[in-house]
Amino acid sequence: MIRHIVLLLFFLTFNLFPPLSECQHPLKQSVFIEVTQQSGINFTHFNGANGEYHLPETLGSGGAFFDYDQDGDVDLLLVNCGPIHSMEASTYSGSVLYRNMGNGTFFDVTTQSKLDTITGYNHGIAVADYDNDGDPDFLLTGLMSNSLYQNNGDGTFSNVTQLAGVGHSGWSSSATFFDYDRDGHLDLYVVNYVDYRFDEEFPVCKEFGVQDYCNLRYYRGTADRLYHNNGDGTFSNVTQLACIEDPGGSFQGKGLGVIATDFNNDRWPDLYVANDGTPNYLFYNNGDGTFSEIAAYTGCAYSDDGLAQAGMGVDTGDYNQDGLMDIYVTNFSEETNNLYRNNGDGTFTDCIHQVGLGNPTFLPVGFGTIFFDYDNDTDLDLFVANGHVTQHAHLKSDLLSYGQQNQLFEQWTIGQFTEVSSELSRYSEISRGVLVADYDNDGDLDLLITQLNQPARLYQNQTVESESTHHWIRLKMVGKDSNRDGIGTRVKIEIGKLSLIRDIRTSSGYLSSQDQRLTVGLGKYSIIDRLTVYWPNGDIQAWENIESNREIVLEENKVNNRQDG
Amino acid sequence: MIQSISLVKGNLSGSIRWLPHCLFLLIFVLVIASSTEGNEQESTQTGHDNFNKLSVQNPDSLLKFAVEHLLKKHQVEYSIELLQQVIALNPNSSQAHYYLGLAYAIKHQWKSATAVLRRLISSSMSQGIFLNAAKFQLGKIFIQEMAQTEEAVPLLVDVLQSQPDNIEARLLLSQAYMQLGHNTELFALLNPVTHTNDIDQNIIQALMLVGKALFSDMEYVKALGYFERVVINRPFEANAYFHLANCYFRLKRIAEGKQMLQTFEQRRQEREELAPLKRMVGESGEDMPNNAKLEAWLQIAQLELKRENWSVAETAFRQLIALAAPNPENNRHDYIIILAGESLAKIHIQKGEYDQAESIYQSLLQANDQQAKHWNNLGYTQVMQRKFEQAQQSFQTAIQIEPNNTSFRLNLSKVEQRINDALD
Repeated sequence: MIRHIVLLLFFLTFNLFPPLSECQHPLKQSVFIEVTQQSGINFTHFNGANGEYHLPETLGSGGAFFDYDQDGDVDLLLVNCGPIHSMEASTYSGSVLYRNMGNGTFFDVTTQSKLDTITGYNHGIAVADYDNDGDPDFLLTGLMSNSLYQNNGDGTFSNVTQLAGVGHSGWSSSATFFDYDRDGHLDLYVVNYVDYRFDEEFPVCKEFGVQDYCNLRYYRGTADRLYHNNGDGTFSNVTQLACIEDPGGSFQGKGLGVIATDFNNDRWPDLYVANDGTPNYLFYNNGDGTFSEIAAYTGCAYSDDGLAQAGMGVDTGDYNQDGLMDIYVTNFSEETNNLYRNNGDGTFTDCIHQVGLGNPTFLPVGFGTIFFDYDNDTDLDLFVANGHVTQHAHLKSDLLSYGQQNQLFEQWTIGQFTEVSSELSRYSEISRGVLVADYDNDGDLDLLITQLNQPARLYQNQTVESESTHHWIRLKMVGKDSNRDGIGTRVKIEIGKLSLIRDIRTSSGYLSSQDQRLTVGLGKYSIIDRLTVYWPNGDIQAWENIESNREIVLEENKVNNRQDG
Repeated sequence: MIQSISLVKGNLSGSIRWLPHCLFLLIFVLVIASSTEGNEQESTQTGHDNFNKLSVQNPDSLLKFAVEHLLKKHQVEYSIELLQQVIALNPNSSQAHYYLGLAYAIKHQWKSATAVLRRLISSSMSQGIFLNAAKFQLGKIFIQEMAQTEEAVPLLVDVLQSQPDNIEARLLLSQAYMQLGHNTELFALLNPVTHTNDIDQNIIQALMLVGKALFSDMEYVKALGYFERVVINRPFEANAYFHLANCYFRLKRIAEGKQMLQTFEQRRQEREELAPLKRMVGESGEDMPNNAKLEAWLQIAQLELKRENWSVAETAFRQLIALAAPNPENNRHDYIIILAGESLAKIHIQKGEYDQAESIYQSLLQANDQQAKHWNNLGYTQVMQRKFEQAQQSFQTAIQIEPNNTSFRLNLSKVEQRINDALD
């Protein structure tokens, strides 16, 4: 009898607990659920494709999570393109602002906010309180020009592009606000793509015998722009003064992604620009108002075989917890993405294969990407939004397709990523931007994906609901001498033997802006031993023994932090 | 070549005086082009008729027919159809499976290719060369097209166990090890082959892989040595300069790094100049008119010559000769043929193949015996083969045409000295 019981237990054990290699982490299965319909978000992107195969049709648009009405939860603005020809585009209005109602739903307030006046063929958005008046403003990039919208503080916005002086014509893609000279005002960097003119006749381009978009090599790159915030509502173009230039002479970059962060920990924010088909740029901040472009010297311009790849999306994060910001760039099909590990000596090494991301990223065309700790276990995971640029991709190879699955990679041990199946990878679509925010304020990061010519999708993260031992903290920065948003602030969180660094930033990924509040997963640690804040203007503040699972507001130069929520 | 003959015949009555010129150029074209593999176009209808006869009679003949259409006539779709028929008749034909897999791969139908090759490998079909070839092909697809590196490794290990001298399998496996970060295995595979002075393209690739593995291990000085060997032997290899630059930057030798980077940019631009031209003459240029292809091949040939990429330049010049037809009404073609001939001869001289260079100059001189420089160059090739008397005659002829050319006179005096020394 006892022998039978032992045998039964033995049998049950080896069937309930399969071999280690087959074990699935319980969170891996269904931590995200799609809630688009329930949330009230009803947005479909429109790229205006009319059979003429204009290159702008392929870019798509992004969006932003930001608290426009300062009521404590993030709202959502989704950017739209529109009819492709300039005359029609000038009257089309398709971008939508959704107000977060605080109960998991969103309400379209485009008209009430006077954003139904947004016109033009728009791609990207960068959000920041550029005038330091306490509410977030935003810049839209687009095919014809940029436009700057000032938050009036009463739920409405005004177009102040002309007044501000940032409305240069040309095809802009991404943009970011950052305080490059540390004067307390957020400056603006706008990435420009290529010189595209409707009044020029382009040849009918074919690939494999069918008409398709012309290859990028037909077009010239156009120079990016750096605008200095004068502190009075206006900006000055300081591109040349700041030596934002191509070391090869004429500006060749065909920029799509940009991120501002301090790579060498000297407290001056640098810039990394992902260029499509040309070498990427790393503009090192010299600390004197000028920059030096050093990507090729530092090993983050090309692939490890010296090829300029199709850099689209870009994000930074300290994935290996060595206190240095690393760079992730998404590329085209038959090119892996890049993970440029910051070596700490001024150089970078592309270690995409070593971390297990080489093979999975070889075939898809990657756009939006973000480092984020989706399961609140302290390490940074990674999400990539995929989707090809042509519906004829299958003609080149039966391994390629127009619609592609997105990818969520969990960092299961430091320096090793593995792809996890989730609701996020359910569809094969033409994804573009990715936005991350804790929209329901429950302590874990949710995700929204924008698609080309298709509906945007919102995914709610169920981590906190399912793993109560994965603690978290959310930080909201309020600058006083530094810019009010605290953009560019570096935060160091020490818990046990771990030291996590995170940046407050606005733009990252592809054409998108992220929640500026910082949500950090703390894993099993319920108390933060020490929290150190490095403000953009140089101030340093520290707090100890901070309880987790709440949002706190950190004000510059204030001794006591303020708890919200 | 068929074109050449028809053009000559067509122009015979109207341009009798051009006949010797065309005939000699035609001879030249035939001599050079005979070593060129070109596409022979046969009508599919004829092919189908032959296929119908064969399929009924003999599957082995059908297989041979299919392989010929695949490898020599480049009729891939048709060969797929034929090979599928062979397999239907003989399901255990490892050869048919192998070539079918190859055909699918040429069409970039990777899923079908891998399915067929897997079937061959895992089944009880006959062992031998096709099994190894299938493993190699499948391994290559896994690494280069499907990013399934781990699956490729055991296949290539098997191939190397059976064929330890298979350098291509060795290189492919090393590529896989590099991606997986298994540098120790990579060094074990490649170190034996890189210690050689006989540098061909495979050794270049091996040197690059070892260099990159050393770089990833932060052995920058050692890596530098490998990349330097590459640029010494292949000065047009753009990527080697890129890696050299990276080594110098890591070693904080910034000025040298910047210089290497400049050279890399130069070489990279040359490569990019070539890319659209290669597309024009490749698959995507199928609809290009012949003249456009001719000009594209000419540019490719000249650029590769400038880069000292001898083997590719040689291929390009041979393609030029195959495409260009002697035509008395088209001086451009004549010019191209002669230019191609001269360039090919120079390439053979670079490679030390003096007999082949001699043969080319003799052909050129048959078409036009008044080119002094060709007589001079012919003499040079003969000197290098120790054919001093013949060289003497060649130099003398050159001087007769250009009596004031001091270089020719110097060459003549040198060879006469050699003849006198031999007599003594």
